[in-house]
Amino acid sequence: MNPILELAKERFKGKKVFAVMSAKGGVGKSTIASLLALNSSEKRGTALIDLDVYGNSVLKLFGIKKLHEVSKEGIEPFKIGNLSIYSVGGLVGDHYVVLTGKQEGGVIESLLGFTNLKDDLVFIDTPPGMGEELLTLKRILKPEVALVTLPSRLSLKTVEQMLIYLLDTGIKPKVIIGNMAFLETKNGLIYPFGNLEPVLKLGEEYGIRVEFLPIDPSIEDFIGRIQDYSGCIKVTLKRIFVS
Amino acid sequence: MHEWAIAMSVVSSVEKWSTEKNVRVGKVILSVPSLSMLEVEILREAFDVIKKDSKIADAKLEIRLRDQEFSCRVCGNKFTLGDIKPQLEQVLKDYGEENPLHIVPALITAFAKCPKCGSNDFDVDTSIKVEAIEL
Ligand SMILES: Nc1ncnc2c1ncn2[C@@H]1O[C@H](COP(=O)(O)OP(=O)(O)OP(=O)(O)O)[C@@H](O)[C@H]1O
Ligand SMILES: [Mg+2]
Ligand SMILES: [Zn+2]
Repeated sequence: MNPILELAKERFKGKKVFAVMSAKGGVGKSTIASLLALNSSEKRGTALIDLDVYGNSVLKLFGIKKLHEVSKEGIEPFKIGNLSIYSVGGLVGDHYVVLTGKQEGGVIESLLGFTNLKDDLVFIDTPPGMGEELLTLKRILKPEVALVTLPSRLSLKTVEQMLIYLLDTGIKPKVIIGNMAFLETKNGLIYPFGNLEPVLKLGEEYGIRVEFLPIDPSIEDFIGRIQDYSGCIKVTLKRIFVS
Repeated sequence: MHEWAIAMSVVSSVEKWSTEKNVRVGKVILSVPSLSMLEVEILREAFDVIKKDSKIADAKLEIRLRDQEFSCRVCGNKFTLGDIKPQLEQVLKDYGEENPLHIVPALITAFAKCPKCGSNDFDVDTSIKVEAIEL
């Protein structure tokens, strides 16, 4: 019997868990997960869990450099207003993380099992790909999924494979997000990855809602203080996720 | 401190198991990797406090500290905890008592290297497991 796995399942029982996923790297998962969690925390207590044990982008986005406190109940979150953030980066600090596949599963189990979770709404930032993190997450809970892609044909092909896998395992993503879809300029919209037809077609084929996010170059200025960002990506996400 | 969260996990998972099987638990045998630097006495005390409010209030806890074997996937070297002691002491020095290996022993590959070839790429079982339950 694996008590940590059981504890993890217990902690997430009855919680609403929203995972931001993509088979492709660098498409904006961490940015989107962080902004979704921030939007949600304006209304109610919300948790944000960083499952990217190598990148720890969430901590970098929020500019968190401290280590987690550990109490009798478990790992205590970093608080940003009503938002509670948990990350393996908050255990190891600046030290690099290198793990074999099996250890990786153990790390995710421990993080999910030991977070002293108080909020009923949880957002999860996941690493790219379909490795151990995804399998471990699915051992513990069944998330709602937002699938992120660039409108690029290469990104779409990779993401479609993940979509098929998710459907195969009984998870139908709530939404496909075409990130960095267009840039607003004085002379109108520019589409750096070509027209958005293929994304819409993917959604149509599988009966999943498709939404697009603009490119906002100003987001760069908010790396390390994304909690202060209120630009068009955040505003658009607010409109997409009304509930 | 972290011993309390582990005790909570053991009580709740054994309690769930015993409810499903409808049996009374006499003793829980818990296997713990020694590299996690868990304090057996605190773990036992936590277990005894937490179990009082559960359906396994009479259960005793036996803790088996496991000195695990490490096996390098690069050079094939087999080694023990004693062989990487200086590396573990460094972690304790850098992070203190609530260090990453104490909370998440699976992080061991990030903090230790094969003493022979210096690789982080080794196999080891860092899980905490309920080995047996006596009725
Ligand atoms: N809509 C956007 N407009 C402008 N820049 C963006 C947008 N979305 C993401 N970015 C930028 O793209 C880069 C990658 O974003 P992010 O780290 O969130 O992606 P990711 O999918 O989480 O990456 P990884 O796969 O490495 O985890 C970052 O520099 C981020 O600031
Ligand atoms: Mg990321
Ligand atoms: Zn070696």
